[in-house]
Amino acid sequence: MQLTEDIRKKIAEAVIRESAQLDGIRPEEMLHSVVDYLEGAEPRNDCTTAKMMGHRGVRVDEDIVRRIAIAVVKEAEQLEGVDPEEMLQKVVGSLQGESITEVAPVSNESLLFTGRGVVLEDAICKQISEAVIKEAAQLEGVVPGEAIEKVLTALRAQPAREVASSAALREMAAACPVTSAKKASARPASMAGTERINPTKTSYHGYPIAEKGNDPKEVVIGVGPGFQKEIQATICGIPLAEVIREVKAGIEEEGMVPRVVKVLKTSDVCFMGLEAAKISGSGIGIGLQSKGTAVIHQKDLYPLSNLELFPQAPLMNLETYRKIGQNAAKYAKGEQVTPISSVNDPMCRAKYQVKAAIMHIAETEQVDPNYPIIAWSDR
Amino acid sequence: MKYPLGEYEREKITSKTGKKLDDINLEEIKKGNITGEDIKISKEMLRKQGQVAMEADNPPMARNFERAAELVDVPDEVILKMYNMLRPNRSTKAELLAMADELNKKYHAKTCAKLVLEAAEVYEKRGILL
Amino acid sequence: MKRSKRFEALDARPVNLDGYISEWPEMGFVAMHSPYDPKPSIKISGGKIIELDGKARKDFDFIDTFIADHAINIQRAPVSMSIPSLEIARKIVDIHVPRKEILKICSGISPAKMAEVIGHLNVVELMMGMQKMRARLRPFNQAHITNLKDDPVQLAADAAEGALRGFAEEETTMGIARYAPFSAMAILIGSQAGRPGVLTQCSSEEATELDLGIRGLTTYAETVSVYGTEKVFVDGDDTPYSKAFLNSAYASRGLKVRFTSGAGSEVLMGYSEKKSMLYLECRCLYVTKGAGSQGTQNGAISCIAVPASVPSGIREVLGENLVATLLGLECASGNDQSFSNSPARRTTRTLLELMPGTDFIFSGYAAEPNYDNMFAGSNFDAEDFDDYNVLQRDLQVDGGLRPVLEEDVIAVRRKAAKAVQSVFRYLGLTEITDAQVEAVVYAHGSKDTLDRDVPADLIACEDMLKRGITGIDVCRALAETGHEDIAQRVLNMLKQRVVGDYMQTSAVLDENYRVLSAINTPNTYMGPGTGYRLDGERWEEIKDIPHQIDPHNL
Repeated sequence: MQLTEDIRKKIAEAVIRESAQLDGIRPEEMLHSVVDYLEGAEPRNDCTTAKMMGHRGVRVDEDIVRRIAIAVVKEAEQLEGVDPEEMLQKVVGSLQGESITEVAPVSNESLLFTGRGVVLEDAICKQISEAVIKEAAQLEGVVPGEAIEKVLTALRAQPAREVASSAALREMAAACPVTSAKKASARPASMAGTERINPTKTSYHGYPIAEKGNDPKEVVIGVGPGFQKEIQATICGIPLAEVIREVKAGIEEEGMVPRVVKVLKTSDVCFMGLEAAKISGSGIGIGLQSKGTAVIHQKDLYPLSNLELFPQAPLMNLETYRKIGQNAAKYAKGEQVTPISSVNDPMCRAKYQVKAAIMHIAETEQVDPNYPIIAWSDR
Repeated sequence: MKYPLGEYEREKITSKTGKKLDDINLEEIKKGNITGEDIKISKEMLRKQGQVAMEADNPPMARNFERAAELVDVPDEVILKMYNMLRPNRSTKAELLAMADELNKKYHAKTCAKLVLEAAEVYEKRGILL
Repeated sequence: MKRSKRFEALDARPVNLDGYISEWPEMGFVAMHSPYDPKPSIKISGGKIIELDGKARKDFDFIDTFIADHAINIQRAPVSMSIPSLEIARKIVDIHVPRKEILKICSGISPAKMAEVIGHLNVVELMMGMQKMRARLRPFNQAHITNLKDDPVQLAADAAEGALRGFAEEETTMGIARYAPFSAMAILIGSQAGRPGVLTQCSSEEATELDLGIRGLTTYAETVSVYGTEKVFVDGDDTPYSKAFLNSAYASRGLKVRFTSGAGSEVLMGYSEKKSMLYLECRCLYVTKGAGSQGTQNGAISCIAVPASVPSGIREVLGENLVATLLGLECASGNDQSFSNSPARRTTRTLLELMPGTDFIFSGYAAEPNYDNMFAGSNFDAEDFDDYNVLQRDLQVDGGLRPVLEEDVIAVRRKAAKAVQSVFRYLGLTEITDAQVEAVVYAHGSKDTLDRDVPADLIACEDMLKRGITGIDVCRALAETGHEDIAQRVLNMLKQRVVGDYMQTSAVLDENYRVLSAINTPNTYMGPGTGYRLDGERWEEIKDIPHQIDPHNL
């Protein structure tokens, strides 16, 4: 199959439309790089995305890969003379990678891009992946955040330790539904009979128990039982690594000290926040569920009360998470705090409640009263 | 006794502090003669409402009115404290038993005490005591 | 595959934006019947229930124990349980079987049997059942009064307008929890400015809400929540016993109370024990009954998108409303939470309760635009007022609301806003400017109003609590600032708690403070020609919508 100029352009435009909005990026350069990437140009040092994903401990799920690929080639489908099946195989192939023998040195930028003089900043990666998986987000059963995580990982080119076989991926490509039209008629398989969303329950045996703090400058963030393990991104797709980074940054900006703990005894956001507040040296804590719901709590309040509550997780963004950190720090300092303005989307429930239920079940499955609160550093 | 009591038994009704309905008026409020306590319901009225509920074939509601009548004399802060103690993982069994005892001996709140004792037993069985 | 243009058009329809999932009983995603639901049973020994729905007493959790000991009439149980569920279902729709007889039978059946009975009734039969089993003769309606800024002036004005439009109860809640004292006070004043006799509540954390009630800043409480599984109840920070005590605590201060529950909460909170939503809701309602509550707010409530995602979900929601009435409880039948992008789905969901009539058709109709609804959106909002009034007129059905004149609304909004302004000034709380008042009077929502000084408001709220300001202080403030009529009305509301008539099942107050409850105005429906019929003055009121063609002006 030939990638004509037209097709290349269209695919790449779809992929990098967001990044074109960003300062300092030359869309032309991006275009060039992504098209090359799709064409399977040999990267330097034989590093492929399969290794990148393998190293991060991310299991490349059949379904996810397939759907990412669908998003990428959506433009191609519309074009004459292009066989979507072939396109799909090609993209899936590049995501999975052929087995290779050498391991590339660690780099935070995709070798594919640096070879072309393009610096792949975090923000760009995020924008690209958002554009890429916009379709995926609409599809049933796909947690957009997980998909983003995988693509970002791929773009950041971590050295891989494991190697994916091409036979497996060809099987995958052959089995997948090709277009979103197929999606409309294809019904998902029934889940009836499945007792857990994630078959294995993670054990936290041996993890350090979180201690009560004495430092009045500390604000403790209590994250949910599935945080950065079973669940990697919030309900609207924000990677949890970035969420926790923003909250901590907000706290630090106000001159206070953040500490992250994982609450395992409960998945209820208010109880989590209260536990965090109780072990916090300042008496102020933040509760943060993996789906993104957050609360600022204080140790003397009723469990279901709060200083500030952010109940509509789909409306959250990184800016708000940073402000939560800032406000929590201010409460800890005893300052007069202007609460973050309430936001409200009356159609939030209609769009997200079922997904929220499923994510919360996945989180609640990990509740383990034997290890009530453990220390949790950045993953 | 005919319901609504406010219509048919109006002259007999007094608040917890003994004030008649007509004594609770704006003039008295302006003079500062009415407090929050004056607009609280009396034991008698609660027991009458309990009777109304019983006659309407609602024993659980009648029991609730009985508990309510018993709680009339329990001060606001004590009620709030007792409610919180009955929530999960707030009290030891001994504390709940002591609370039942206080309800019985200090406030003559037999039905309330019985509820607390039931709770203490069930909470112990279900592991939600401190 | 080449796409069909028709399917592309269908894919883009709003109804396809809603969340749907196929039945997954292991996670509780099933509406009316799970293969794990227990078989009904009651075994009695020594005057106690020793087995309930297949479980022996030693295995009871705290919900089973409470239900077994408080909610079931043990004398009637043997006979009730022996009547086949299908026969009970048939009696419910039989116009010749009176409500009282059905209440007697149902007082002796178990939660699993109740679920079985409902399972036999199709959606039309459920509506027939509701028409007969509703506790109060005449249906009424409840409003949500909230806004994005927690602005007390707008709350007061919206409460006044809501009262004028016919709501018998009004509920507020906050974006920032600490605003509670202002919000409670604002709608207490505003509601009485609109129509004497309207009941008001402030939805907040349980102990906080009890405190506000004791202070006389609210006249009823509703969000006394109960849950269908033990683990979820604990995450809700309560037990049936603490809720029963709380119920009694409210009653000891003379306040009307209703409990809250609804399908889907156990699914959302992660512990459904593989049971169906209907069965778990039956457990909730039995706890409500056992605690001696006069009524419930149910019909999925804030978890509505969960039953709506599975087959027969909206039918289940009506079914659980009917269960409440079968237990003799007042039913404020949901409709208070947005759940669908599709106008057809939204309206259909509400019609199921509007047509037969329930004690409160909505347990929270947003009397503001939905962007201001701090319960995250209601099924109907202020922009649907005229639609709703037309539906009442189209069907000749009493949905609790009435058409109003613009000048009347402006007048009560101003009356309420000025009253709140005076009270704030008299009590030394934060300032309310004339500009703020004027903006609110003509506003549609908070986008049209001026901002408040939030930190200063919150300090004043805390101060209000510390100073122990009560409803009596509010009366005095109104009386001393030239708002005698509202002062008298607020006082009349507070005096209700001395009498307690309004604590009986399904009680509301008319504008003369006369109680209308299931005791003195019970539902007497037994077929055509009986029960509540919409006619007379009320029907004339409903007919008189604003946009009618004037033949003189053609």
